[in-house]
Amino acid sequence: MNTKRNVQIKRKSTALFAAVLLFAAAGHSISAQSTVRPSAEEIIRRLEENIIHDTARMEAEMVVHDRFGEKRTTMDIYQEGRVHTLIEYTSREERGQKVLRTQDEVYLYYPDAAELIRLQGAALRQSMLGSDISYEDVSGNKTILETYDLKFLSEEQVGGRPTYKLELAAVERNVAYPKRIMWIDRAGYVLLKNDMYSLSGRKIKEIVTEKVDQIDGAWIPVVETISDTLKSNSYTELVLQEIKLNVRLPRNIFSLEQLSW
Amino acid sequence: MVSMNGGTRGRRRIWIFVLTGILVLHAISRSFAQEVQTFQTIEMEVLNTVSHSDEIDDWNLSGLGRVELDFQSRGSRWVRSRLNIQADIADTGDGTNVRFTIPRAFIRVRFPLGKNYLFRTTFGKSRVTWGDGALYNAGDLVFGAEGTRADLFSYESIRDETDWLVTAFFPLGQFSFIEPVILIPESEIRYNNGTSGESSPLESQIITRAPSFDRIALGSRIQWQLANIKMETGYLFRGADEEHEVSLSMQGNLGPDIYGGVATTIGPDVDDYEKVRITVGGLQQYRYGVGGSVSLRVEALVFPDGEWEELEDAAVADGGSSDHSRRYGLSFFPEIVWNPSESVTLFSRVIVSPIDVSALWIAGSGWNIYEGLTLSAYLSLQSGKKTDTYGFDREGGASLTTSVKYVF
Repeated sequence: MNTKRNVQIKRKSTALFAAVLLFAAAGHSISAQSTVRPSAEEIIRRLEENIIHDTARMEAEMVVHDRFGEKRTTMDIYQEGRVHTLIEYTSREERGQKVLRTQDEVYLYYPDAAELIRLQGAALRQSMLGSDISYEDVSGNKTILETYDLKFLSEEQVGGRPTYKLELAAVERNVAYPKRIMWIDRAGYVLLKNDMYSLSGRKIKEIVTEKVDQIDGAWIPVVETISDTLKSNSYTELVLQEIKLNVRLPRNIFSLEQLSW
Repeated sequence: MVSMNGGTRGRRRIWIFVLTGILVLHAISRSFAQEVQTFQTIEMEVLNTVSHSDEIDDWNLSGLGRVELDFQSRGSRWVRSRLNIQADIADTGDGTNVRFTIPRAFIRVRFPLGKNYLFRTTFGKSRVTWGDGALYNAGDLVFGAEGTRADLFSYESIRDETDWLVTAFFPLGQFSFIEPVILIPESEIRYNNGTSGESSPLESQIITRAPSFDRIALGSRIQWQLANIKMETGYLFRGADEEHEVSLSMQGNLGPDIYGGVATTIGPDVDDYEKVRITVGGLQQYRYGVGGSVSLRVEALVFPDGEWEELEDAAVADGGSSDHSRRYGLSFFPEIVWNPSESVTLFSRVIVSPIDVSALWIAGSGWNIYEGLTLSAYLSLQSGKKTDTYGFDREGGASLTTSVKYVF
C-alpha cells in the first residue's frame, strides 16, 4: 500500500519541507547586521529563529528538471510557529494528498485511500521530495545545534553578498548528511548556500538560493535550486510563489479532521 | 458495436449518477461561486497482458484500455464533493465492450457547533479505512480483513474498496475522533412506467426501491492515543446477517513500525474461521545514497479457527470462492519496495499460503518518465498445485502486463 505513496509522499514532502526550511532559514530582517562577528552557535541560533512566525501561508512549486523535461508539483503550505505545518498538494497527479506535522507527530493523508498514515521511527526517514530533507529532519524537536557540532570557517562572498561560512559535523550517526557546509547571509541570516556531504566526505548535494524577496520585513528565499552532484543531468527548482506572513488561518487547521477533509 | 456489461439498467444508473454528480457540483459551484473551484483530472491507461490459460494450455494476449474521469470541488471550507468515473474498454468478438464503474460519488459537509467545534458528514459512495494494514487488516470491519479485492499491481493503495455509506467525523482532540458509519444496502432503481430501466432517466420519474431497513449495517470506530501508541476500537452490526463485529487495532514503533489488530464476529451463522481473525505487520525503511530508499514490509493473517492442515480440496484453496465457510489458518504478505530515484519504483510482493505451500508472486516496476506519464511492467506468477491456494495451472497462473498511463 505504501509503494507509490512512499514515492509520492517522499517527493512531495521533500518539496514541502524544503520549502519550509528554506522559508524558515530566510525569514529574518536583513537590517540586523552587526559589526561584531557572532559565534557560530549564535549564527545558527539566529538562522533557526527565522523559522518561527506566528502564522504563514505559502504557495510553492517544485520543478524537477532532467533530460526528459520538467515535472512540476505544486502545494499549499500552512505554518503556525515552529511546531505546526500542513502541506496540501495541489498539482494534478498528487491533488489532495496532505502532510501534517504537529508536535512530534507526522501524518500523511491520501484522499483515494481515505487513510490517515502516522509516520514513526523508520518511516520518518523517507526523504521529502526525493531530496535532502526527510520527515525525520522536521518532525523532531532536535535543532541544528543539537544535531551538529559547529565550526566557523571564514567569511566569503556568495552571489555578491557577504556570508558566514560554517562547517557542521553530525554528533549522531543516524543523520542523513554527516557533514554540511553552510553559507549564511551576514545581514539577514538567510541560508544562501548549503553543501551536504556523505560519511566518506564526498559532496553529494548542493542547495543554492537564487532569489530572495523581502516580505513584511522578512527576507525570504523564494527561488532555490537543489542539485545532486551524482546526477549531472538533473536538478530541482523550488519556488515560493505566494507568501503571506501572520495571516489568520482557519481554526483547527492542524488537526486530523482538517488533514482528512 | 458498443455493449455495456451490467445491462441497460446498469447503464441508466451510471448516467443517473453522472448527471446527479454534475448537477451537484454545478449547484455547489453556483452556491459558493466566490471560492469554489472544480478540478478535473483525466487518467488514461493502456494495458497489454500475456497470460497463461489452463483451459487451452497456451498463452493469451489481451489488451485493455482504462479511462478515469475525476471531478472534485475545492475551495469551500464547508462543502466538498467528488465524482469519479471509470471505464474499462476492451475489444471482443462482439465488438467493443465497455464496463463502467463509479468508485466515488460523494458530498462531504461540515457543520459548526459553537465557535470552537465542528463535525462533518459524508454522503454517497466513498471509502473509509479502519484499522491498520496494507493488505491484511483485522481492524477493517467494513471491507474485511483479507483484502480479497486488492489490486496487487497498484503503486498506490493495494486496497481501494468503496461503498455507499453515510459517515460522520467527530473530533475528540487533535489526534482522536469518533467515526460512525452506516452502510447502505444496494438499491434498485425503477422508473414510473413500471419497467426496470426501459426508459430514459431524463424522461421518467425515478423510483428507488429500497431494501429492507434491517439489511443496513451500522457501527463506529474511535481512535485515540495511549502513550505513543495509536489505538482504535471498532464495532459494526450487519443487519442482513445479524452479526456483531468488534475490533481492536494498534500501531506503534519498536524500531520498525509495528501494527496489528484482532477482530471477532458474533452471530447465528458465523463461519468458524471468521469468529476470530488476527493481523500483525511491520514496516522498516532505509535510506541510502541520495534519494534512494528501500522499504520492507511483512504482514500475517491468522484465523485461529481456520484449517491448519493441507486439504486436497480446491474449495478451500479457492480462498473461499467456492466455499465461503473455510479458510486456511495462516497466510503471509511480504513486500519490498525499492526507489533508486524519485522517478523509478521497483517492487516485489508475495502472498504466501504456508499450509499448502503455495504462493502468488508479483514483481513490478514503474518509471515516471515525463510529467504525468508512467511506464510500468508487472510479472505475476503462481506456484503450487492446482488444488492449492495458488498454482501455475490455476486461472491467471502466470502473466506479464505492460502499462502506459497518462494523467492530465
